[in-house]
Amino acid sequence: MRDSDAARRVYKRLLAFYPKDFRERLGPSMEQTFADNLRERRDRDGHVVAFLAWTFAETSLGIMKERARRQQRSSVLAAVAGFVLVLPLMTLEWATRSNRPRTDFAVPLFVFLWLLAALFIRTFIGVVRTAQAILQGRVAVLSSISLVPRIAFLGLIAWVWVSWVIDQMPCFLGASGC
Amino acid sequence: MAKEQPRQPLTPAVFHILLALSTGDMHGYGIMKQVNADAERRVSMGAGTLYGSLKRMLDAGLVKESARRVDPELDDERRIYYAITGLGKKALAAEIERLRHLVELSRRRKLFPRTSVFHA
Repeated sequence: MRDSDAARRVYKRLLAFYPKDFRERLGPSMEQTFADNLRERRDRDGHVVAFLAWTFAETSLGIMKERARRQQRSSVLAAVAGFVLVLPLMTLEWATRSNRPRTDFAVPLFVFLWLLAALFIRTFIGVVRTAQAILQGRVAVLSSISLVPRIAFLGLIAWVWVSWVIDQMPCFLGASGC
Repeated sequence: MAKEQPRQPLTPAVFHILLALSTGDMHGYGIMKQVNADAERRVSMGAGTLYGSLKRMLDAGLVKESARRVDPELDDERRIYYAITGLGKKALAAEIERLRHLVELSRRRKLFPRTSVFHA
């Protein structure tokens, strides 16, 4: 009985790695199912080691899949938001092209600015989530150390992006000689 | 989140969960046992797969949490039960129809039950 309680406690700790909304909605049910399965194995033949190994591995895989799905959603959101950020500059460039008809539309520049903006937003989402988790006490305060390089990276991306936009602004505004 | 269209092909896990819930409301452990029984041990569904699928099915409106109640065959702990919704029933029916069509097609092409391709 004591072993079952210990296994249940460890499983509960593993479930803490699921994203918050998933954990809150399905965590109690998963814990219950784990306890039911454990009881069945114990009553049947008493061999629970293989069951525990398989369950922990399978649940860990589920956590990874769930987290990867979230990452994918955040990346799509960052890509769309990044494009929205670059769209006014593209529109400006398009509108002032008549001033310099021989030049091509600066596709590589806008792709670069778009990717940079998307990377900024994706990193920013991660920083905000970590900060929220620290403030809500879901992760150790020590995790705030991991925020320092990420915030520095955000600053670097912002500096590069703004520098490029300022540098290219005369071209966006239709200045000749660009 | 947008509701899942009933005509979309279902994943094997979602299909088996809907099939299990078509017999009545069940808690997670009950679904697992029913899936194992239905699949005759050809499918082994762990908690990670079951609850990952249930989360998406809840979001898509294919299943819903029905109530918390005690399973008389287990202990006295209250369990969360899951129930199939109207949309879930439509999705299950559409998937069965899709599979029936495929089996029928395979039969017409003499690929099933004994196939000239595989038993030549």
